[in-house]
Amino acid sequence: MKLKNILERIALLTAAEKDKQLEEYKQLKKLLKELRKKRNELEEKIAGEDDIDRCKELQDKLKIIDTQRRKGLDLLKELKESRKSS
Amino acid sequence: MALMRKLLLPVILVLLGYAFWLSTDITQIAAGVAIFLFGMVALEDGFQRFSGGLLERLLNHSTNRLWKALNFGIITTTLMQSSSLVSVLTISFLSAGLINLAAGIGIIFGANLGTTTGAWLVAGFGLKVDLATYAMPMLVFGIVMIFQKSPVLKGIGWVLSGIGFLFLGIHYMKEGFDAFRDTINLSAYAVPGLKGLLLFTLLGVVATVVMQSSHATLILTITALAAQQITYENALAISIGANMGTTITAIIGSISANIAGKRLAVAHLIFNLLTGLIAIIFIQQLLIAVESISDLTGIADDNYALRLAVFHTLFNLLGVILMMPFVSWLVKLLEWLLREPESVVVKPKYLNDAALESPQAAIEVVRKESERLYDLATRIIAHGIGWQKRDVLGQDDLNLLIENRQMPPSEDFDKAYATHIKYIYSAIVQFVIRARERITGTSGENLQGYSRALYDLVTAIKNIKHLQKNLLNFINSNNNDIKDAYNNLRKLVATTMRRIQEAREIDDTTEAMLILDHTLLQIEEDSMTTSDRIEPLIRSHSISAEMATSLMIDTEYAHNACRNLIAMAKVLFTGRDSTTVQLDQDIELNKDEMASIIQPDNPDS
Repeated sequence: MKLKNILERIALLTAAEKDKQLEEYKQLKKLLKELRKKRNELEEKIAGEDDIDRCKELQDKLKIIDTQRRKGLDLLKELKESRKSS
Repeated sequence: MALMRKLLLPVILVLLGYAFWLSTDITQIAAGVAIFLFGMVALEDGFQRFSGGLLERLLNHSTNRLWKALNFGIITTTLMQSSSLVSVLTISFLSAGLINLAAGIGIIFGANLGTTTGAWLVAGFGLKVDLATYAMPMLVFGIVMIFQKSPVLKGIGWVLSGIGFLFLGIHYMKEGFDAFRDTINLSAYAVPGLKGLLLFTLLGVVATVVMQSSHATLILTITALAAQQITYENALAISIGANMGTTITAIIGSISANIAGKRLAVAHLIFNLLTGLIAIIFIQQLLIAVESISDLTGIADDNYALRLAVFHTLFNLLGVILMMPFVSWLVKLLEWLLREPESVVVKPKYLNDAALESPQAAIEVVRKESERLYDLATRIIAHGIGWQKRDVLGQDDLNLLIENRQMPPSEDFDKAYATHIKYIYSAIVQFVIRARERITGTSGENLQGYSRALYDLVTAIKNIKHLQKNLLNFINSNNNDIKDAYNNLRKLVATTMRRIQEAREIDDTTEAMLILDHTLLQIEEDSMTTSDRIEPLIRSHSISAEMATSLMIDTEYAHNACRNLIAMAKVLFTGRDSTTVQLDQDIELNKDEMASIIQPDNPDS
């Protein structure tokens, strides 16, 4: 009976973990989409910006987003593979 | 008083035990009441599980007008057959600032009206049919559903069981009073006239306070009336007393609420006392009105239970009609009567126990209190770097502010921290711990996120405190190099606070995060170039070695303070939930990645 209870709890935990992973996956996709949109906005602003300091600021922001997107895409891939294997 | 409270329970138990020994019929009636009360608890629990935030969302959208608030109170209390759940949620939302006092009063008025439907249900339906026949299958199905894993099915199970227990409780009360009639006729002890009116009103108050439910008192009265154990006039008086008695519960519940919750409880008391008084003074007129309505609607002359239901609805409706035009006046009176007390130590403004009843309310009060703590902290941080808060968060050029050489505000940093920060911070941490005992999942993690954000804020304050010691000294130094270096630290902290304010004020959360990330990048750039700035000053003997070491340590304090403030702002001011905050942290740039942006040509980055 005790073993059965333990197995039931593990099953519940696993199911909860799967739900959490799915939620993370969805949120990450949404976040990456927002970052891509922001990236496009920044590119447009840079194209039309004459002020050197302002241009540098926008370019730095663009680099931040690019790095975050790259990391986000790697994480998305990991989550996808983790979901397939479980 | 404490002794009386301790003795109350044993006394009640002894009295009950004695009554049970005297008569099995009393046992049956009391058991009926107990089962009824349990049914109400089960129903409340079921609605809380099943609605899972729906009620809170409805409350949010349905109360921006007084008539909407009134309707909300009527409908929800009718459906749930419990004004106490609606009252508790209302106080919780009011304490969290999610609704205003006028809306809260409207809901309470509506709940008072909604609660009268219970009398109609029992008098119109419950007394005519064998409720046990309906109760038993409900209980069976309900219990089966309670044992299911799905929270929705569990909730339905509790609701069904709750209704089943309510029916069963009414059934036992009916049976008990019917049997009781054969042994003793309580109506022989009826007290007529004004004396009876006042005595039985008091009895209604006492019964409601003891059972913590005006509903239970009313149902008990109706079943006794149907069994002719009490007279019609005395039953009316008990119903008035039950209305008044329910406010005692609200007053007791508001003891742990903040000032807004207390105001609402007093509004409830004023409304119910006034309504009760009106009912007592105009009882004859009300009885005539009951007769007319009963004749119009075809209620039989000897159907006193239904006439009681009419009376109960009528005097509550009268109270609502009389009080509604004066709600704004009542709000002013309450705000005047119950004012926010002043205190040397700044106390929490939004935290209160009532907010623990709802995850959304708990998160909202923690968020508001945390933002308030940040606003208090910005003043201390500004003074810590030798400026006024309005200068730090204003639009003036910081170089101009430095040139103006205004005397830094004098303030005891430790005292300011003790009076303005420490108490509230401790209160928020304690509140979050208590809230997380009952709030789990994403809501619980959100609360924990705020707690961690405030740790970052307090750590930032501590860093500024360490920085302040030398900063206020060196910004007045004759040595221009050391003065410039420390002024640069002031500008760094002030700029960080301005960027945080900018992020706080925009709706686009992605843009807000980008502003904060970019500010962090600038801090790291400053950090990476610290030794490049200080070493030449040492080599050229522009500053002494002692000044240099102070500057290096204080620069690190300034950088850490800024990093802590940004980490706090990412949680507090971007409106992200805990899952997204965690993802933000996962994709956040590390030091190497920032270095590669700052120094793209450096092969080491």
